[in-house]
Amino acid sequence: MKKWLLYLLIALALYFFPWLFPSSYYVHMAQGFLYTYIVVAGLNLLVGLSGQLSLGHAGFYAIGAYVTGLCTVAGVPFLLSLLLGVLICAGAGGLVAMLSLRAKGPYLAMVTIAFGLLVEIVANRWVEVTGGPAGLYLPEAKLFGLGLGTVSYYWFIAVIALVVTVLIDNLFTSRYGRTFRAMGNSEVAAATAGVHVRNWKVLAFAISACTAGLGGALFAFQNAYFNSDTFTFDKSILFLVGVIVGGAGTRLGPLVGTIVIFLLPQWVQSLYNYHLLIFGGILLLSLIALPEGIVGGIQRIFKQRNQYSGTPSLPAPDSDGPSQMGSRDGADLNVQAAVMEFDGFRAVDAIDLQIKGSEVRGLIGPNGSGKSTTVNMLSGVYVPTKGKLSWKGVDVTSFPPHRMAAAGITRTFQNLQLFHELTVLENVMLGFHLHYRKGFAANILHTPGFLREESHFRAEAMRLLQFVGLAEKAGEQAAALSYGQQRLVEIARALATKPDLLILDEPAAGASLYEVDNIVRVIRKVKDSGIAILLVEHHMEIVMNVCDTITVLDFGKKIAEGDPAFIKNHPQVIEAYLGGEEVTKLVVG
Amino acid sequence: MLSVNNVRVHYGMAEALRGVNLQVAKGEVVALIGRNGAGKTTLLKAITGLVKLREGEIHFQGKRISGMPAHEIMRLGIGHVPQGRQVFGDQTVEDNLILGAYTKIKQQPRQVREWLEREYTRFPRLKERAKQMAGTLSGGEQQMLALSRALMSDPELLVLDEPSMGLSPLYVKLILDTVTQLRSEGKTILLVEQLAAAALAISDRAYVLSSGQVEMSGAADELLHDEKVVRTYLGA
Amino acid sequence: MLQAIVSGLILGSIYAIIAQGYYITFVTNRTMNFGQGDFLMLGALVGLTTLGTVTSAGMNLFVSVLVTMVVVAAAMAMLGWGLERGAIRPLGHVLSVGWILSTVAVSLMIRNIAMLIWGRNVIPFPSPFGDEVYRFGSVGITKHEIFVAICAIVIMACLFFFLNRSLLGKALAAVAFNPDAASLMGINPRRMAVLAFALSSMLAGVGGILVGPITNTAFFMGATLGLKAFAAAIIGGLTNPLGILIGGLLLGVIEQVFSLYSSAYKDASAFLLILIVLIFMPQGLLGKKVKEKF
Repeated sequence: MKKWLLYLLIALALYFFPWLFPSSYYVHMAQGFLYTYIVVAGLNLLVGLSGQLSLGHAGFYAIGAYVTGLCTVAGVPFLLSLLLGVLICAGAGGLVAMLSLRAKGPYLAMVTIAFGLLVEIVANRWVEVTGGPAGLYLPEAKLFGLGLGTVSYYWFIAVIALVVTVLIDNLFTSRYGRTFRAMGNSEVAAATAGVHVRNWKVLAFAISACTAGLGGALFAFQNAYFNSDTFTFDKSILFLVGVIVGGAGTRLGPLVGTIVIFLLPQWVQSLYNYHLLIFGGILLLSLIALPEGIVGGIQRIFKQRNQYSGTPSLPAPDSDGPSQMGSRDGADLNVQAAVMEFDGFRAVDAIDLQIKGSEVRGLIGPNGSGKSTTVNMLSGVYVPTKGKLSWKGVDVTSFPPHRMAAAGITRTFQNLQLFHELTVLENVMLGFHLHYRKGFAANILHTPGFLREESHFRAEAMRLLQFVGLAEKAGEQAAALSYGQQRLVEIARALATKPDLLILDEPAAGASLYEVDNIVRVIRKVKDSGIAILLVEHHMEIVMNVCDTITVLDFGKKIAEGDPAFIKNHPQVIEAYLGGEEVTKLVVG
Repeated sequence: MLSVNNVRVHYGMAEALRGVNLQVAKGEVVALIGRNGAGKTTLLKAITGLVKLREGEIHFQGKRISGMPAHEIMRLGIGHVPQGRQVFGDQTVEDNLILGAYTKIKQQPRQVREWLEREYTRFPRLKERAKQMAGTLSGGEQQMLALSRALMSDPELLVLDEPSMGLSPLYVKLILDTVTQLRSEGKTILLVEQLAAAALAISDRAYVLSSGQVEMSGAADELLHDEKVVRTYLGA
Repeated sequence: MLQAIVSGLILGSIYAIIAQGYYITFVTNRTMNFGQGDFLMLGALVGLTTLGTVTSAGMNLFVSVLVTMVVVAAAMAMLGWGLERGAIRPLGHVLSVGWILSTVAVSLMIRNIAMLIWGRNVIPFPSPFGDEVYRFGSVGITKHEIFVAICAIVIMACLFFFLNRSLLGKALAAVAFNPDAASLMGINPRRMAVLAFALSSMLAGVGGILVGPITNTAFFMGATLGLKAFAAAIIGGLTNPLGILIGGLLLGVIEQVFSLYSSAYKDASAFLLILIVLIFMPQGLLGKKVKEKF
């Protein structure tokens, strides 16, 4: 295995480093480099992969250092203290994530800043416990009773860094990494694929806090002494610089980033009076010249993405349709007098809607008549202001999107919401989110069970891509596809959740004529496989040809419902929507 | 007055316009019809500089405007009423109108006062609501405001993007009557409209856009009776 | 206690002035100057030097204060212009976090330069009005604090007038509301972004002059003040200038009240307040809720 050979080489290099540079200064530097790298690698998971932001990682770094340090001082064995420190950091990370769940953008940034500064203040002021700026003296780190000298402590850090690297690398290439990335690309699309976005955000924060705490603890024992001056806001910024300058979301980014943030200051330190100037200047230039970071920029040049799927092998096309696509007990949706208000404006005004079995229902109406709002309500994106939604006898009125998906309702998006950093195949694999069984441990360790599950769902996803006719695009970046193809990928991803009701929001908008034919063919095939469809569409031929029943909205109200022939000749519908003859008469006189 | 030559526009990998040619002469009303996603709005945005061209050129009154940023193109005398009205909801009706004359108000404040009165006469409703926040207006009133706002700079060419969208029939009539009125005043207008029959009824010429290409073009009354147009777009 | 509230209001009004700078750039192009604190520091130091020069040239007190304000405002506006051109615009799209780091990078450079010019030590910034204290019952107010209060009221009034009444302010609001529609009015969104950064930096600079005599000045004074102003902006709601004013005053008062007990509580209170506010009101006190469309 090439991967393991690479790890072995790195391990050897790390092992022999103290002989190559036999000076305690260099070994010390290497220690510093490695624990900084651990923090940056963990922050990269949060910022680069899950698309969140933390300007307070120095806080976790501090918690890791203090908890581990104080436990050891209290007589707890070093290794156990380390474990405790890391676990408490995970808890703190989860807590920060919970606090900031509803906050977005700058508000989220502020929560993390506030957390980091609060920790800093506690570290500085709670002198009786933390020692404050005067510092905290620690016993020598001991492993099973053996004291760790400079070199052996270096080896200890190296082993941990290597393990962290392997685990994080595994995470990147597992379902977890994929889900984090998907969430960072489009939260709402991840949610409609069944991802419980809140929990996943908390998880990302917790993992990232863990590694930051680990780095902090390793830092604390480096000199058997540390003080509160380390844990400043600037430190948090520095970690973030490492992630961004290295290349957020890339696997090698943290390594390169750490070189920049750790070694660069060492080199310019001799120019003490100018080091901020130089550091700031280099940072600014690199942000301008390489907005995607060093590794991201290099990857762009070589146009090769470090994604693991590559070109997947095609499974034999064994059937025309995907196996057990839906759970096959059919749809049973009952909407009663649903109302959706925005600031007093009624976008949807007391709509009743029943969808049963495997029917194809058209939902039409002029722009602004409330179709999109209806779709958003049915998929859980909005919670209706009034009224009731029930699905298979269960009240689902206030279900969020991921629970709707679990119940069997999913959707596509009018303004495409593909995970643009993932390949086409990975997009569809994410749709199977609710059907994966292997947990975190299996994913991060790449156990045989995990590998089996991955290849099973990869084959399933390929089958769905064949179903929509995009098998040969499986390895491409989703953003590189045309509109029509992207819409088909969305349909395939939605089918992967195995829904009983599939909501298609203008699946033909923006597609070329040829692609429209393709999309219609796919819709018919989905219909044949017994999944109920709610189709929102402007192309009248499609609606009239595909739908069993059509519901017409105007000004948020249902104005007509019936089979296509009935709708075609319904005077009110014609006036509101189809031909606008009344309007024409009015205008022309 | 306006000439669009072989214009191509891409969104990412998706091709929205595939080589469109279009001419508008002074004093003409030209309609642009086609389905959702056919590229009508993209074409208007390409003309007024809101999207970048991949290929092709656009000239306005003999001057090349493709490649110029939107705010400079607008200064040359184009008024664009965007789709969905896009009034500045957190400012008053009057402020919206004044912003419409942003490019002129410094040089000719007196003129702008007159134009403001002119628009208030055109839509007395706006005068009644002058101090109200634009976001609190109904859809139809917002459309009046968007139209008046574009007229506040006294443009040579008026570009209208789906003025009937989401409006009740009476408001549609009011807006389209206003277009007819402007036509009789000799304004040059490029009109995108989903209500194809109504659009053709009030224009001189028309282009039918489909999948980012011009499918048909010709005199409006001819297209109004063209079998294919009737079948596809007039819903009969 | 009353004393704490009064000095809290004074301090808070300075936070609010600085925080309005975050608001202006944020609504205009969704970016902020994370180095606002260092801009404030530079304003304070430039102000101190200018004031010294002008007064030693024998100018009358009020004239020299006015001259100082104008010099600082002009210098900071230039700097803001440079910041937008050099560190915001070249990054292209604003969705990334790049602008956070690029503005921090600029602020680091400014901090270093200030250290080279003004040295490493804390420089006392004597208030041009002396430190005479007026007594109103149990409450003592220095002349400088009265000056701060007057300045704050004047600046806020000017700012609100500018944003709500002037054509440029309306154009700025239009860009903030909908940049595409604004450019269809012939408004140049990029020029508005430059204007926003210039204004924001001016506010930081003036804030520096006001805060200087209260905290004294040094090259490292900016970071904490910048963060507290940011906290004020977030508490009030980044999209609402009135909210920011309230947020600033609230923060100032809470800090001063807590500092009656201990200085550790004082620093912590600001950030505890923000956590509490954001848990219950994720958009700040008066921020706008944004409903996303799909």
